[in-house]
Amino acid sequence: MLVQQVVGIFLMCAGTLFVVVAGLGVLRLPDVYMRLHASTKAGTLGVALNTAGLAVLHPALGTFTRAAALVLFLLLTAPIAAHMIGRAAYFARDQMGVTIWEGTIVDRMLDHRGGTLFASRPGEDGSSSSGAVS
Amino acid sequence: MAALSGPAAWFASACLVAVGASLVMTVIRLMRGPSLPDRVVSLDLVAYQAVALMLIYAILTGEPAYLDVSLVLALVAFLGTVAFARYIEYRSLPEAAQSSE
Repeated sequence: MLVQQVVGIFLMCAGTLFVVVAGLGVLRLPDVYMRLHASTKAGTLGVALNTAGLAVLHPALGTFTRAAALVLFLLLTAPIAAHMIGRAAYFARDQMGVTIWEGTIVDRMLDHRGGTLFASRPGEDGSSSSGAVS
Repeated sequence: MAALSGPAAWFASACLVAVGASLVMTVIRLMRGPSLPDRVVSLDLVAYQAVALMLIYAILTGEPAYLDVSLVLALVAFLGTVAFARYIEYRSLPEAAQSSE
């Protein structure tokens, strides 16, 4: 009983820690894509750990099945939602006024799209051989 | 299914407060976010944090009904995020491409 409580509380506190890190990341990181990275990965793991803590602390068949369904659904949908927001924020960046962090050094979508990176950024017109400044 | 008591309940209450503080940070970004995608990202995270809040409350009180509520909220949040993403992406197309679709 005690071991069950300790394991459950540990899982719940770990999940809460990840959720707090996700909120901090969304508040503090400098551009949309980094905020997306913090929100999706840390948020998903935090909610999944909280669900595991609930399943450990209150063991019942109904709780197990619904907890498993919730975690499975989160793992299926969170990457899809993040991919769609990131894609929309990339292709609609001029219309939406999305800016990118000034320390960004590479954009892997450039070859695919053929345009230049964010127009407000200097030194991006083929002068990448001059070295990656941080 | 019994409510927690003793130190376990204190830990659960502390976790509730921590997730609430994280919710406040996300709402600050939701109000301040310079562009629409920022707000969509933080709205998505607000839904996840509400799910986490309900899960911790279910742990604290031993009410399994909150698990159903969080399942439905996760589903609705996913649909809302996808709708916002499609709106952002297709609003950026030129007029000709929009009318031909």
